[in-house]
Amino acid sequence: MSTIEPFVIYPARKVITMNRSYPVAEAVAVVGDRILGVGTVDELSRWGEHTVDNSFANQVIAPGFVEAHSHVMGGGMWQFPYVGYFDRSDPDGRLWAGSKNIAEVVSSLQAIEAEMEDPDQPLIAWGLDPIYFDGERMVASHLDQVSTTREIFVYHASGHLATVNTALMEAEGITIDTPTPGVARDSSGHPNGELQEPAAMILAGRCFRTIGQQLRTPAAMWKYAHEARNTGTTTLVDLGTSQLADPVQLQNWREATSHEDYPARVMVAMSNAFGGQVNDPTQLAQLGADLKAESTDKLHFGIVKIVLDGSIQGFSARVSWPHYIDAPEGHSGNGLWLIAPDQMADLVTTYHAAGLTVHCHCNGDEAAEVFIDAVEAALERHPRWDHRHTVQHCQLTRPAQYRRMAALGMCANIFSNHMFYWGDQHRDTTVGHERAFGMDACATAAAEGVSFSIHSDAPVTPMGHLHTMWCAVNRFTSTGEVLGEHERISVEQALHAVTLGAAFQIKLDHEVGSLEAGKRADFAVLDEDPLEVAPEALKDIGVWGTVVGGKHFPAGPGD
Amino acid sequence: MSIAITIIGGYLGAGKTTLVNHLLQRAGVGSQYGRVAVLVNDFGDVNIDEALISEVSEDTIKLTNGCICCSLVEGLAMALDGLRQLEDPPERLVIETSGVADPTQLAAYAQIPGFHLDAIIVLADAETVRKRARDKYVGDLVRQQLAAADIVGLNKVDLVDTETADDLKRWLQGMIPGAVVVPVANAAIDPEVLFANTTPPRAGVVSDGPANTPPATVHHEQLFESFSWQSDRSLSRAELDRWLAELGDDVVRVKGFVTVSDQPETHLVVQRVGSRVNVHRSDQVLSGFSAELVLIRLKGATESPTWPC
Repeated sequence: MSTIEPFVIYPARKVITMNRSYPVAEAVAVVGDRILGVGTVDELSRWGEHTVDNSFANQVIAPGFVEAHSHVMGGGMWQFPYVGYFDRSDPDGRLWAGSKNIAEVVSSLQAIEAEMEDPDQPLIAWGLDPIYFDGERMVASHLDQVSTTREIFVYHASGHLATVNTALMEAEGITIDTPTPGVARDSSGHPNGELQEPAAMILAGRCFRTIGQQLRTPAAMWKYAHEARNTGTTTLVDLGTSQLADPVQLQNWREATSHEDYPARVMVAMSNAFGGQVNDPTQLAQLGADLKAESTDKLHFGIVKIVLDGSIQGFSARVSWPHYIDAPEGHSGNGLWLIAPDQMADLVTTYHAAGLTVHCHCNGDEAAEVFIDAVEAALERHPRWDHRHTVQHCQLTRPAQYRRMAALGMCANIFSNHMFYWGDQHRDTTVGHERAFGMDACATAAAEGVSFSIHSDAPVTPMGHLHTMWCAVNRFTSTGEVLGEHERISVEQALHAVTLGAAFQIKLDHEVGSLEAGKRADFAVLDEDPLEVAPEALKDIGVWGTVVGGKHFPAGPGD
Repeated sequence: MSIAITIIGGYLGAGKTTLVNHLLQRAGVGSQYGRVAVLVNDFGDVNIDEALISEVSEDTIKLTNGCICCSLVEGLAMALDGLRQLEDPPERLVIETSGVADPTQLAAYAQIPGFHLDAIIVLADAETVRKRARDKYVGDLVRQQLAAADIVGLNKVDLVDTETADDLKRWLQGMIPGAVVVPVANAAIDPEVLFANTTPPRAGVVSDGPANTPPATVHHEQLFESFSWQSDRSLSRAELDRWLAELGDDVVRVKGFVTVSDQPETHLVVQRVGSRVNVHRSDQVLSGFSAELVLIRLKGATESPTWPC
C-alpha cells in the first residue's frame, strides 16, 4: 500500500517528458510540488487517492522552459513604456506593437504622454532601434512633437545610446558649449538630442539615474518572473546582473522567491561585471560558496559570471583574423577585452577551486579561446570533474573550439536569437558570409558532443523559448533569409536545449528540465505541440501559462 | 570650478595601483595639490596609512587631508555623476583605469561639463612591455594604450640595464610620435609631474623685479628639472604657438599664463602635457606679467630651454 498523500492527475492532449525512457505520456500526476509520475491515467491511479484535474486536457504539457541567460533588468525595463521596432509582449501580457518608423515612435509617445498626469514627471521609454530605420536618426525635434515642456528620454535597444528632447537638454544644461564627446550635433553644431555612450548619457541627469535605480528593485524581480510565466518559462538565470554582496538585493531576492505567488525558480549568478561591492575574486568565490549552501527550492546560487569581450554588432567582440569586414571609421580593427587575458587562468581557477560553475560571456572566438585556455589551466592546477563551465553567447566559437570544449567537459549557451535580429548585419558588415553561416553553431555543438542551450539574453532580445527555438531551428534573419542552413537543428534538439540542456549547465537537471517521477512539477502549458507544428510556426504557439512546483500560473496580467 | 582629471592607464602589472598608493601616501598631497579624489578599481589593493583615514564607507574612503578614494562600484559614469553633484567637489580627480581600458575612451568622460582633462599617464613595464606589445591577444590593446599617453611612465627601469632602458625609450618614441618617456622605479612618479601644480604663487601681484627675470632652475628629485620665467614682454600668438610646438620631447610639462601682443586684452592659460598643447582664454587676470610660465623636463640635456624674449 502506497503512503502517497492524495494527489492530482492532469490528463493532457500530450505530455512531452524529455525523458528517453518514457518520452510521451497522456497524463502527469503531481503531489505537492513534485511529479509523482507520468503515464496513463490508469497507470497513475494505482498510486492511491487522487483527483483528476482536466484544466490542461486540451493543452500540451512540456517541461517548463529554462532560460539560462537573461537579466532581472528585463523586468526592470518594463516599468517604462516600450517603443522598439518589433512587436513585444510585456509581463502583463499586453502586446506593444512595434514602431516601424520615427513617425510611429512619435505617435506612440504622444499617446503615452497624453495619459501622464504629473507635468514634472519625465517620460522615459526604451527599446528604440534605429538600425531598422534606413539610416534616419531620431533627434530632439521629433521628441519635441511629443512635448516641449516635459523631459523625454528614449533609451535605445543597444543600451549604448539615448535620444532626448529639447526640454530635457534645457533642464540639464546640454548646450552648444557642452564639450562632451558623444553629444551628437546638427550641422550648426547644436546638440541634436542623441547622447552616445555613458559619458554623454549621464548628462541626462535625472532620467539616466532613474533608470539605474529601477533596474533591480523588487518590482523588477516580479515583472521578470511574470514575463517568464507568460512565455512558458519556469526557471530563470539572472546571469550576473544582481549584486549579491549587497544585503538589500539579496534580501529582496529571498523575499520575492519565497512568496508562494512568485512564478519562477531563479538562479542568481554572482558577478562584478556590472559593478559590485566585492571586486576581489577570492572574496567573491567565498561569498558564492557560502550562498550556494543557502539555496532554496526557488532561489539558487552557485554560478559566477565573467564578461570577457564586447558585442559583435558593436564591433567590440574579440574576433580572430580576418576580424571585421566593415568596421566603422576609426575602429581599431578588433574588439575590446573587458578582462585581461593573462588574468583569466587565475580568475577561473579561483572560482573553479571554490566549487562554482563559471559562465563566461564570449561573443568572439578569440574570447572563447582565452576562456577555454583558462579552464584547461584551472583543470591542470585543480583537477575537478563535472564542473560544467559554460561559454555564454558562444556566437563565433569555431569547430576546433567545440572539440576542445567537449574534451574539457564544458557547455555552450548559444545566442540563437541573434540570427533573427542581427543576422543580416553580421553577413554584411561584421563577419561576412562564411562566418555568419557558422555563427551560433548549434548543429556543430551537437555534432561535436557539447551539451548546449540557447538563450534570449532578455531584455537584449525578448524572453520566450518558443521564439528562441524557432530561431535555432529555422535561422531566418529579419528579412526572411535563411542564414547558414547547415547549422539548423531539429525541433527535438531545440526543445532539449531549452529544457534539459539549460538545466544541465546550471546543475539543476536532477530537479528540472524533464518530467520524471520525483522532479519538480514545473510545466510549460502550451496550446500546440511544438513537435507537430510546422517548424516555421513554432514561435506562434500559444502559451496557456506555467505550473511551478504544482501551482498554476496562467499567463496574463499582473499577479 | 572644473575638476582636473588625470587618467592613469597601462596594461596589467604596469604599476598603476602602486602609483595610486604612492600618491595617497604622500601626506602633502592634500594641501599642496588641492583636494584629490581617486577612483580605483578595487579597494582591496589600495594601501592607505591608517593614520590618514578619517572615514570608511562601502565605496568611499575619506582621508584626513581632505582627499577621497572611491571605488568604481557602479561604473565610471555613476561615480563622476556623484562627484559633480557634491556640494564641495575636489579640485582634482585621478582615475586608475583597468588594465584593459583604452585611456582614449575614458578621456571622453573628462569632457563632461564640470571636468577637464589634465593628463593621460600610461605606465609601461620595462621588463615586459615589448613582449606585451607583440602579444597575440593584447598586442593591439597595449599599443593603443601607449599611443593614448601624454606621458609614458617607463616603470621598473631599475630592473633592466641602462642599454635596455635607452632602447625602450627609443622604441616608444618611434611608436608614439612626440611621446615624453619618463623613466621611473616603483611607479614613483613625482606628484609635481603628475599634477603640475605650477600655478604661479603670486598670481595677480606685479613683481618689482627686473622685466625679464632669468630662468630659475630648481632641481627637484633627481630626475627632473624645472625652469620658470616671468616676463613683461609679449609674444604674438603665432610665436607662442611655435615656441610651444618646438619644445623637445624631454619636456614633460609647461604651464602658465600669457598675454599675447596681438590680443593684449585677452589672458591665456597655457598648458603643454607631453606633446599635447592646450591654450585657452581666462576671464580673470591671473598674473601681473605678460608671461609667467613653469617648465618641467627630464634632466640630461645640456642646453637650457629659453623663453624667446
